[in-house]
Amino acid sequence: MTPVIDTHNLIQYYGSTRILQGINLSVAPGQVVGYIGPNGAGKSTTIKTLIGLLPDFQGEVSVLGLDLRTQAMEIKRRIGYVPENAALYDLLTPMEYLNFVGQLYELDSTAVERKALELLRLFSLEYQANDRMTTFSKGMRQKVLLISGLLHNPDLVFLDEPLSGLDANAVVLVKQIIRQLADSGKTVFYSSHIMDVVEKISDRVIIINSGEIIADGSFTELQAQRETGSSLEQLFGQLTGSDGQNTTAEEFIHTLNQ
Amino acid sequence: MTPPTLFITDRLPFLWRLLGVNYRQLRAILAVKLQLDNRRPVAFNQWKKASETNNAYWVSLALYALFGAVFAFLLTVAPATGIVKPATLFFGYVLIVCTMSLISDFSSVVLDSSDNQIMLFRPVDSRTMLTARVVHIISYLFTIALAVGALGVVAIGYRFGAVAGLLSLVLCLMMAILAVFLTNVIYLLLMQFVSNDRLREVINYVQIGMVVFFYGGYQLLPRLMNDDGFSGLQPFVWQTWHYALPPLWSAGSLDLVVNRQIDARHLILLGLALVVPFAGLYLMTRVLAPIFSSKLATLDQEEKAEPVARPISTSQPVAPSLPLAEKLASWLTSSPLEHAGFTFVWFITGRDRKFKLRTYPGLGFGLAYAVVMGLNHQSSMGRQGSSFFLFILYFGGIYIMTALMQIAISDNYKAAWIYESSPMSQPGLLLAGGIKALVIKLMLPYFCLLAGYVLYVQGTSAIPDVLLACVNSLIMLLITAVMSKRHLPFSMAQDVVRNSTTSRSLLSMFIIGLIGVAHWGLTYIPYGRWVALPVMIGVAVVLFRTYQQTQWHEVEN
Repeated sequence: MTPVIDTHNLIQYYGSTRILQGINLSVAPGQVVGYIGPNGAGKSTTIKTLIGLLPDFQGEVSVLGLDLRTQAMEIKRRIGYVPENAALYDLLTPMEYLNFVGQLYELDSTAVERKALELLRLFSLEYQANDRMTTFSKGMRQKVLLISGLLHNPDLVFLDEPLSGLDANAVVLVKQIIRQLADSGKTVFYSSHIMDVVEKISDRVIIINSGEIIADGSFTELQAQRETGSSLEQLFGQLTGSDGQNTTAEEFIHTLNQ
Repeated sequence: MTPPTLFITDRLPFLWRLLGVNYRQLRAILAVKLQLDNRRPVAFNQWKKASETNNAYWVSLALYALFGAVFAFLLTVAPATGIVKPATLFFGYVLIVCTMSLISDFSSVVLDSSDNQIMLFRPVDSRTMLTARVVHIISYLFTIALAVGALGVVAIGYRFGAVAGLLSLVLCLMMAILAVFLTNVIYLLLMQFVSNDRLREVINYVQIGMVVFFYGGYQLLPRLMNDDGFSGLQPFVWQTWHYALPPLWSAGSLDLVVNRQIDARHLILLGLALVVPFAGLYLMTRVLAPIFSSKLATLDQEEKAEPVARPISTSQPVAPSLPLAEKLASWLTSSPLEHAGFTFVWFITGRDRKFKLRTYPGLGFGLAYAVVMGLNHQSSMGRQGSSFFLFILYFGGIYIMTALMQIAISDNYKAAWIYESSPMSQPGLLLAGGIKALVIKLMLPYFCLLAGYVLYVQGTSAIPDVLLACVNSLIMLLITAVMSKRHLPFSMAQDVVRNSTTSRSLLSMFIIGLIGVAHWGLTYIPYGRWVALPVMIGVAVVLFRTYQQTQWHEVEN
């Protein structure tokens, strides 16, 4: 089976700083991949490279079997992306915005309209479908963004903190959606700082630190490498070299009390 | 109903094919942008948010048209054979107004990266995106070009027939397209030569510089025209370097039609005028668009760049040397809260690009005005002249009053929750610190510059005037501060402050005018200025104390 994402020695610079130190990655279809790492590790840069936002990379990258250098536009057509804290034109209504996005993908507008309305209904936004988004809460915007990233039924979806701002019920719903997307043969590339969620929904966890992959495998496999029974949060702490959080917290309190 | 812009673009399929853009996507983007413009609460466009209301937009259009009338008049009185000079000025004016509005008002659209966030990862190529942006801008620029050129076009059409009128209309629009091309090239050049980190800042200064430059140009233009002598009887002498000046292309083309001057030179000029803007457009979408977008993408990324994780160092951080602001603050302020207000305003005014763009051009206008008027006055150095120099001395005060209005404003106004949640008992202290920072940082250096100029021209006899003007400027500032609504620094959205002009501010304007007139009157009374000086200092101190006592209920938010 052709891998959905295949990178070979992917290197990316920002200015003169090397952000990605040669990422080798092969992702099979139908998986939820949890992509985690500390701030500044290169998560966003990896995702931005894979979706074609940062074309000046070194190494070989193919996405959905297409070469990222030469077929970026075709790739963009078939992937979905929901950035973290993404901007949207909030002076539009959800329906107008989704129609606009549909037009960018050159989808049939009547189909988009029907689909968008239905998806909004499923996210309990049907009564707000024609209200301007300026008044929307963060969770409502996030729902619209999720729909806008999935509207064209992509084969590969990149999600960056997709649960942020959602209420508890919506979180459960979105987690289910992610699971069922994967079960239906699509691939979800999931980046987050919330370890509990990553632990639960990922088929495979990839941890990067300072631009390098330092762990790769299913959660149970990662556990097996370290002490069994530890959570992903603890594993993450150990692997990224900051498991002394207890002592740090003590020092913190101590400094406050000075 | 289809907006006029889309109505026109729908009729240009050949152009889009030539440029190689995806028209379906282009149309969708344009439609959304136009729709967004319609919905913006304050103005027709997001980039005007900074300083203008919708009304102000129409007022500025009317002003452009009025200036255009001057050129229309020149076009009417100039003899047909001497049409080239007034036509050059006319088209040059159209080009300058278009470029200026692009630089000052539309730059955020040219450099907008929020579009990127929404569209770049979708299957829209950079060419289509840039073209959409350019067409959007051009659609507004055409309005401006029409406002500026309308009277001139009518004048030409009336004098020389419909063909000449139509041609000059087209030439005006060509100027608008050319302006877009030039601005894009300028920005692109800047992006090539300036490191990414400093780009936005440098562009900011370029904008300020351009605005001042063009303003100075306006002031000088009448002088230059006097020198030229606009009899225009002698036929225009063409030079080779004239081929490099776009307004002359248009003027030459008009000359061709009006005076039936059909020769190689005029045909070349006509060709340049009609072809270059489209060639520029073509170059822009074909060649420059990808570079531009990738540059913008990195610009964007930089803002969003996550902090690079550093290993937690165990060593103590080296104490940096105390910045100037901190030193000044500890000399000039007496309470911690005032200290905080001083340094806060000092830092933010130095870093907020929008603040700089709103206030610094005013500073440049003042200087340009002072110098140009000074030159005009040098010939007549009587009583008249010295009262003019009094006027110059008050520029500092006037400038700082607009700056005072601006420090309440920030795009980041939501961060002002920190004031509410902090146990601050007397917000007046914070306000007082802020006003001190403004005076020290922005007013004093500027005032010294103006005072230096006045002393240089007037000699030591102007010393009492300088001192009194300095104190009076402070009083004017404090009166404005005390009488207008008080906002904590950087706590307001732009729109709120703009709409809060009240009768109180009118009253303070009146008092300020009175002070200026009083100073002028005092120059006629022997020792009047020396007597007034301590009195005014006393007034200033009282006003400052009042302002310092501001309580929570007096603060508007």
